[in-house]
Parts: sequence; structure tokens; C-alpha cells
Amino acid sequence: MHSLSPEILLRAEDIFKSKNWEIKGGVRLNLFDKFCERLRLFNKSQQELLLELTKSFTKIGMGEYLECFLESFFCLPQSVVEKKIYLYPLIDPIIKTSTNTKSGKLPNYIEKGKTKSANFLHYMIESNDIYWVSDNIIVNNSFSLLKKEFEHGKCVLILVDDYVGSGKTAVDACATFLTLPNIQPSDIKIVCLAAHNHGIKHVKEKLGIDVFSDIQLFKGISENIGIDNINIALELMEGMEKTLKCNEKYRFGYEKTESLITFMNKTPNNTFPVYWHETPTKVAPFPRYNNYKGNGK
Amino acid sequence: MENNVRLYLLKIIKFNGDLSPLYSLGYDSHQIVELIKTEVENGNAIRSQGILALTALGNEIVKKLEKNENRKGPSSWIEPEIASKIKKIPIDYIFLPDQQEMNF
Repeated sequence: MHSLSPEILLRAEDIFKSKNWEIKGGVRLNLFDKFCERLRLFNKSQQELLLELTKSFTKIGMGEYLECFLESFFCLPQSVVEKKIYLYPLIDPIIKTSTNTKSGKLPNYIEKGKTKSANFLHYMIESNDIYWVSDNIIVNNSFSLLKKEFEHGKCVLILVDDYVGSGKTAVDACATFLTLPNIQPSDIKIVCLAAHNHGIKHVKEKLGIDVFSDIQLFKGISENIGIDNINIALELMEGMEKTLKCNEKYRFGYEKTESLITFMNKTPNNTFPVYWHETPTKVAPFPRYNNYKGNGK
Repeated sequence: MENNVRLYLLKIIKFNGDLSPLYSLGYDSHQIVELIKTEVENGNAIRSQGILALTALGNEIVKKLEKNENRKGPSSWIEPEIASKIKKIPIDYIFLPDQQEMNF
């Protein structure tokens, strides 16, 4: 543990107050206590950097989750809303498994992927009245329905998810939908709650599909105008990640996305691991898995 | 709050020192923030443009507490490690360490 000064502690409290985050309360360590526990793992310069990054950190709670997402619908052009809309979750609709036979492995294709945040969001939309977007909207997740009914040019496939980070997952999911002969890239639109600038570009470059999002994110350090010396900041972050012994794959976030966002306490792996990496003795302020319930002391 | 803990807190504020001893005593971050803010509200400390310092009143209290705690010579500037201090036990008491607290 490093030292934590009263000035740093009060600055952390200022940030929490301005963001309306939990400071007191809770049975176990509350968010503020968890955040300060994390600060205590680092030296003064690293603590200063973590505070600077936290100023730009976005936390979307359960209450604002659907509301924020629906805001993204307003970003869609009128020409899209006038068409027949198929609203699907942004996941690969087919799980590719294999069966061992005498002649080798044969692929099996089963509809519907595993439970992801896209499914959860899709379910929330399904349970809400969203006919204000359009009267002609079908909320479904059947791949075979698209195969049968979708008409190129007359219909639009809107794929929903809470977050597009590097854009790789989105490209993989869209690629399966594009295997259908009646669907072209111009027929697909991705609507998400928050999207990373690089992810939007990646999806557009790879498949020519537009991503619409109310919250557009940029790299937390490399594109942060509040940081004077980016190279030093990157070095400090590297030091923090080494202290936490983070997996090499997630250094600066998955695909080096340098993201600063969390949804309902399920942080995307694109976010800097200093916010979510946890061990039995090191409690994280914004965990991904909530594996460790201890007080981290 | 005990006088020795308050003296510790005021000295930490004075030198923008390390809060670790308060954590070792079992305080959580939000509780420490409350303690610091109480000192600011009572006029013993002041926070201006992110810098925290003791006021003349706060320094007076430090002196008074040092006198009460009988701090003279080096003990006025070397703080005892109160977090490691344990209660005196009778000579015939059999001490069994708590297995949970042992770190080996």
C-alpha cells in the first residue's frame, strides 16, 4: 500500500460529488471506499492520473440505462424510421459447434447465441413501448424470420447493444447477418448506448455499416485534452497495470481501447483494467464479474 | 474520537501526510473524509484551491492536545504507532492469537 494524503482523498470526494456517485452507505465497502482502496495501491503521480481519468469516467446505472439507449434512437435518420424495422440484439445469431463423425468434424448450426448485454437490452426494449419510433417495428431475434421475410431496400435491420468498443464483436455479429442473400450492409444499422470513436470507424471501414450512438467515446489517455504529457501518462498507466498484474490482453483495455465507461456495475473489458481488475485481496471499484465480496483489506 | 487519534488527524492535515494509520485503526475512506470536513467546518483547517492546511485555531488545538497527551521532546514530533498498540494483559493471562489475523 502507498500513502494517501488528505488532499488526494478530498479531491476524490469532489469528483464523486460532481458525478453524484455513492460516497456513504452500503453494507460492504461502498463505491467511494472501493475507489480509495484502489488509489492506495499507487504512488502519488499515479493517483493524480487516476483522478484525472475518473473526471471523464461515465457510469450508467440501472435507472438511466434504457433512457440513455432510447436517446440514441433520435440519432437515426428519418429515412430509416420510415421503413419496416426489424429490431434484433447485436450478437452472432448462430452458435457454431461441431460433431465428431467418422469422416471428421461436422459443423452444427444452432440459433441464438449465449446471454449477453445485447440480449438484456433487447429484452428491456421488448418489454417497453417503443412504437413511438415507428408503427412498423418487429422486435425479434429469429434468424430464420429474417431469412423468410426481410426485403432488401424496403426493410431495415436495427441491431442493438449497450456498447461498441473496438468494433470487432460488432463486425463478427454483422458478418453472420450478411450471409443472408436478402440483406446488404446498407440495410443494417447498429444502435447502441455508447460507442467508441475507433469502433464506429472500424465497423464502417470493414462492412460499410453505420453505428448510431448518443454517447461517443474517445481514448482515455491518447485522446484526452486534459492530459498535458500523454507519453508520461501512458507510462504511469503501464506501471499501475503492472502493480495489479493485469492480463497482457487487457493492457489499456481490450484492443487498447482506453475506455472510461461502466454499465450497471458490469464494466466492459475495453475500460482500463485499473477500474475493474480484482483479486481476492484487491477489491475493484467497477468490477466485471463481482467474484470477490471481501472488503479488500 | 479519542484525543490521540484527533491529534494524529490534525498533524496529517498539517503536513498533508499519510492517512494509512487511520486506515489501520479501522476507519474507512468516507469516515476519514467526514472527520477532515468536520475539522474544516469547525475552523481548525482550511481548504483553498485544493490545498488543505491547519488554521491558527487548529495549531492551537494541536499544541493543547500535545500538552494533554504529555508529549515532550522527540515524542512531540515522532507520532507513536497507535495502530499497533494493544491493551495491557494480566501476567497470568494465556494469550492465544486470532488465527484470522495471523499473516503466516
